[in-house]
Amino acid sequence: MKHTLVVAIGVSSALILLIILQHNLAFQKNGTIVLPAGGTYLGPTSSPPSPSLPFLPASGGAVHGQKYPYSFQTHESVKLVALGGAFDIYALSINNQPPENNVLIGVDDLNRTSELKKYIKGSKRAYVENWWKQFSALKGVETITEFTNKKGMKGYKATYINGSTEDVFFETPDPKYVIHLANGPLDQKIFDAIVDSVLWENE
Amino acid sequence: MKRPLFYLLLAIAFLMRLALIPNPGFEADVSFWKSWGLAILDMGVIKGLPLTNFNYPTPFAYFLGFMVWIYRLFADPHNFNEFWNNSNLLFLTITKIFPILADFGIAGAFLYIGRHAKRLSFPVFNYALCSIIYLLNPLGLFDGALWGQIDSVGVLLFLLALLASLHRFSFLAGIIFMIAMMTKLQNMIYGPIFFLFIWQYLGYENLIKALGGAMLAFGTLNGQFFLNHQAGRVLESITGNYDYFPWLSLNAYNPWWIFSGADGQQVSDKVMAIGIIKAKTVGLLAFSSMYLFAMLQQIKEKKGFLYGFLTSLILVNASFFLLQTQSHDRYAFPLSVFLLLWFPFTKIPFKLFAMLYSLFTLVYFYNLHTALIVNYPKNGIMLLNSFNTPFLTIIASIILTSLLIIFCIYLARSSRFISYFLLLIVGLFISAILFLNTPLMFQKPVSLTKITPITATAGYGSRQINMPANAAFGFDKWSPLSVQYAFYKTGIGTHAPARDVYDINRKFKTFSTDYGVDTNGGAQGSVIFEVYGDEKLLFRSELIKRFELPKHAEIDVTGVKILELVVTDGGNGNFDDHADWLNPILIP
Repeated sequence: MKHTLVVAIGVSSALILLIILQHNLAFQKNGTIVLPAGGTYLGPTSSPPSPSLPFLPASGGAVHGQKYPYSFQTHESVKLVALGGAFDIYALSINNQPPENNVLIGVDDLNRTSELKKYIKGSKRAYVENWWKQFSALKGVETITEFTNKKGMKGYKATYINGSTEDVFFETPDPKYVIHLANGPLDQKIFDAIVDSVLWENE
Repeated sequence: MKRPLFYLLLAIAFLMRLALIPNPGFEADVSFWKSWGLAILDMGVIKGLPLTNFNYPTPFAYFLGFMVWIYRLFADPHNFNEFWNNSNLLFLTITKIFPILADFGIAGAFLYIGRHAKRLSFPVFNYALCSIIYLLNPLGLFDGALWGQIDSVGVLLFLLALLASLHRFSFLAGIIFMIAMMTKLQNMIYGPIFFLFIWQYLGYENLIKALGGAMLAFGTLNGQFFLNHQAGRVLESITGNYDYFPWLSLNAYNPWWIFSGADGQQVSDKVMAIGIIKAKTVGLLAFSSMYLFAMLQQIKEKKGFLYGFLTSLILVNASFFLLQTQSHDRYAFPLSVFLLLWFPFTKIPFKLFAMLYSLFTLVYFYNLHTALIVNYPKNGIMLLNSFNTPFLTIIASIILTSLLIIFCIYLARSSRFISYFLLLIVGLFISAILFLNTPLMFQKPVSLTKITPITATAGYGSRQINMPANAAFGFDKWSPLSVQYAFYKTGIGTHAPARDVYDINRKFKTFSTDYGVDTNGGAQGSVIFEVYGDEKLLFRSELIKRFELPKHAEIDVTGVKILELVVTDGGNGNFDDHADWLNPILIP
């Protein structure tokens, strides 16, 4: 009996020590932000979108990137919000959904991380094939179709396992940059028209 | 087992689980739960769920909302950087505490059975040993406390339903069974054998009571949705996962994993597996056959209704994991409990059972661990990461499949009736396979509408069988296929740009089809039809316009494995481009 108790106390103490160590390690780890894939809820939103965001009225016509020299033709039914930032993003304003959840277009800078730098040289197909690896909830590539839009831009249409959008990637004259679009909840015909109008304007 | 030792082992099992909580586990699952639970908390179930991509049974939403509600008692779920962090210890603790408690609930159920064995129709046995085996089993430790899943909660609820039925509380048993099913939808597979057991054990009247309890629970748990005219969402939550992951195996080490060459998530289950039968159909036939076998043995089992039912549970769970395609890695988890409940009824020597149970545990743990590290290499046990090789996963698949075969042989040897049933089932399965292959055997044509494509895309609407593409927008748009008012009973309606990919497995010589722009299309419709065999262009039509009569093509597809039907917009955009493949047939 005594012997069992000694063993019990010993094992328990060791395990408690292990738990404390684990907890400390967990707290020391900064971790990473992991967001669920697809269109889903990430938090409440103010309605309509915050006035501090540069909000483009729904009038159609040409839209230009604020940081990068890309442009596209939008449709009169599409309300856009310029989120800007490092990716120079335009997002869709739909009902009361946060525009951050419905990013339409942005620019991926392959110089951003050492992981991405390897895609700067050569065709961007490899980047498109491996893009999903940045997102834990995506599981792999479903389809990739190479195409050229009406402005002569070479691109790739891709769908990913567990993803809910069609992603479109365009090569640009500057190999560091890839224009990235996602259809999100947008009508497919309107999205296709936007994709066809994307252009990287020579500076 | 001596009490101090028993309590010591309980303490060890608990502390080991606590130690695993900080591991971020399967991060995608945890982040989905955060999103869905937060939506429920912020907006309520009715308004919150439509803002998410929730795909669990609707009542599970309350559970997720409750988890985030608990979180809000201690921290702010709207603190973006803290809440969505994969090392959010508070949220990990809240999500994992439920399966951990359920693990101890299962252990408690074993002890309860041990104490009331006679009254519950169980043989006398050392069930305390079963509870300790379960608690120290790496499967239980890994699935809940590390991975963060709630399979053990589903198993515990199912056990409670069983205990209620053994106590003759049939109405309550029905209620708890439905709660179990609404928590883990996979519990659905036990429905027919569970109610069969209640009928056998308690009679017809209690069967009706149990079904009534289940229906009442279903209505109550989904009541808020029904009252808000959202019955469609309830139905969608139960059926929406059908074909959700159309792959051979979702990291479940089973025969389909072997068939896919250890790459089950990359191979569609619409590929032809036997003759012209797609893998998915073969899987469903195999699972259905085993289900029938399980029910027949349950009806005829002479050792008692409970033994027959527990045998059925093992057969059904193992078949669900091993035989059907689209099986998930975690589907075999309940076997770790069912086998421990079943063993005391048998005369198998303890050492032999312990050896086989350990083998199952070890191999299945390897399966679960590998499935986790494929997605999250840092969240597994570092020492085991190097064992993730295709060869070893195939060996694991062979072992797990062999264990089911051994189980069936054991059953067949135990009773003449059961061996006949097994032969009958194998015969039925082979007959079904032969029947579905009759077109091939008798060289009869097969309509392409009968073959499910591996992928199908359309520029508008979606691929439709025997109707034009816009039929996708509701029954008021349904109409027969027609090209310039030439009507066809069979065919495929689509819209440019369209691409349908079929596995025809080199079984056919000719592809014959009519084609044209559907009468439903507007005046601007103009398309080009193309057929590819293993990526080589076999046929390209001229530009076909809306008011043209149907054209015909006969294409040699000898030796072709992958057949692609493509419709392009003819270079003038895809406005009005409703395109039809009419009476498309494959001739062996």
